[in-house]
Amino acid sequence: MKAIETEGLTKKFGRLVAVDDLNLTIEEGDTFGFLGPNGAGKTTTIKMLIGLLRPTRGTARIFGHDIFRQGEAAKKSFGFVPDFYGFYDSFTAVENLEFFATLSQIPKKEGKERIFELLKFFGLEERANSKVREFSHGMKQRLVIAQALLSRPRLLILDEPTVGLDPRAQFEIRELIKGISKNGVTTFISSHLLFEVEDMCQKVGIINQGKLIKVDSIENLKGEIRAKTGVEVRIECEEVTQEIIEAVKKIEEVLDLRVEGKIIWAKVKSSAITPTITTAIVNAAGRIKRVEEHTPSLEDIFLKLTE
Amino acid sequence: MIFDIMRKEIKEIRSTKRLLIIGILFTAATIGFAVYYGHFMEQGPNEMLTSNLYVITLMFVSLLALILAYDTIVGERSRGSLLLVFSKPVGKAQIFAGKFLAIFLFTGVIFLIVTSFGYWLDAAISQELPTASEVAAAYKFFFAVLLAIACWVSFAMLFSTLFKSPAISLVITLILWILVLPMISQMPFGIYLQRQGLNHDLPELGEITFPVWVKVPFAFNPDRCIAELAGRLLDFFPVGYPILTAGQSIAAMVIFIGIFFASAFLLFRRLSLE
Repeated sequence: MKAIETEGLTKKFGRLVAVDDLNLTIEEGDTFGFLGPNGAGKTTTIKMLIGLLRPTRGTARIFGHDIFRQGEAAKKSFGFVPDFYGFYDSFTAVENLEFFATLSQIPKKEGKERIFELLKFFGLEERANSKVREFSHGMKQRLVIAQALLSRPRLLILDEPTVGLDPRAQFEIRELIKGISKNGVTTFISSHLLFEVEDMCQKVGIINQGKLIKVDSIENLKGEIRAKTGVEVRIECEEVTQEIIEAVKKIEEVLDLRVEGKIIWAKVKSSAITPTITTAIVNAAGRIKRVEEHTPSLEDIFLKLTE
Repeated sequence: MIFDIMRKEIKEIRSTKRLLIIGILFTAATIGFAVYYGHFMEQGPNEMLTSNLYVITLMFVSLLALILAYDTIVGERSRGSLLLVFSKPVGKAQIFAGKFLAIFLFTGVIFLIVTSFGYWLDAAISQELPTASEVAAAYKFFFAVLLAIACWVSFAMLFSTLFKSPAISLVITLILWILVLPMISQMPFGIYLQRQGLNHDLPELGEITFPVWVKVPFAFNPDRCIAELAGRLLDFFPVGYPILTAGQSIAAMVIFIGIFFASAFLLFRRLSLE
């Protein structure tokens, strides 16, 4: 089943095209990272997906329900975590969650049970009756994720879930999200933090200047980049002599070569060439200390695609 | 759902200090008027209560409605809670109705408590119990004031929906209430009196039939309408002239509510959180 499906989704603000003809499909059970530099159109896309912003053109469906025509049905199936804490500061954690549970149409008794279950899961049970204004950023972020999970949604949409948090809180939130995904909840995470997306997601979509430029699994994207740009092999030797350099240069598949002290950096078409290089070094009386293949990171992919 | 939204709104109103501040200002204004009249106008506090307390009360009830409503939408918008509310499966009509009813009823109850207390305090001071017809007139007037409250809540909610900053919403709402609407409603009346060579204090003004171009702008201010109704229902004209009949005053307020409530609701329905 398709959790999210957009067709020609476009949003214009005057002359500015914030999102341009976005066609995106996310299957149920996926953990999807939505990547893009600041101002690329990530938040605008999310606002259209959850029905906060009317698209200029195109449609968005959540589990088959059009977000504008069947808004209530669509909204029942997802939970949303914004990039800031939209709570009532003068209310306690429980009062806030009770209100959002009511809005989510959860029966009172069931809502109370769910609230305490979530507060326990997020380690907030001892602060259940504290006013939200007394909470730290990390606690507020855990609470905002808890409110999104009140109705046991099939889809969780998160907009920059770790923004403004200290490294420890970021780690905790990432672990919580990974736990939620493992429980079968489809997760759509918008972020500009590449390591975060690489850590949590299997599949990514990259948006730049409003256009969706790539959607694939991280592994496939890495493979594609490798095929296009080659693989960089780092060989640490005891000593790099002129004979060794000449021997490596003779290998046809070596696209580029550079030497930094005792380290040889060789760019090759594929990692299958690495044994040929090491053999050539050994034959030239070289002694190898360490061989490493530098595979492209999500950052490399991102930079390549958004350059 | 509407009831739950109302309950949340009232809880939020109670958690702010607005009611306390307006209560203190109201008390200070009441005492100030009493002292002023007692010392300089050779009237005792009792006369002051009967002639001016309801004017001050009406002014503060309008102010209370405006102060509670000016940020009901823009406040949530700027804090970000509206984003979460809109992401839930609840209709905008329910959210809007819940907010409107909460402020309307809360202000109405405060007015009922304050005026009932004032009314019976007046009776206690003058040692004269009101007659049944006087009590009936007072409660008729209470329902008329509810209409004025609905006018001001709709009015402030329009600007709360229109603007993105609570401060701008507050300033615009108060300026329109204090300056613009009174000017619109009073200016044609003043011009008419001047043209006719009439004096504001003439008792025979009550017998004049004013032209439409005076009546319509005059009616476009709920404070004026309620003053007119006070005159009709309580037989007392301290701040206005009998320009409008009771029916015209009520109709004007209903139209005012219709215009501002509908505009605010339509804007709210189309509200995009960019």
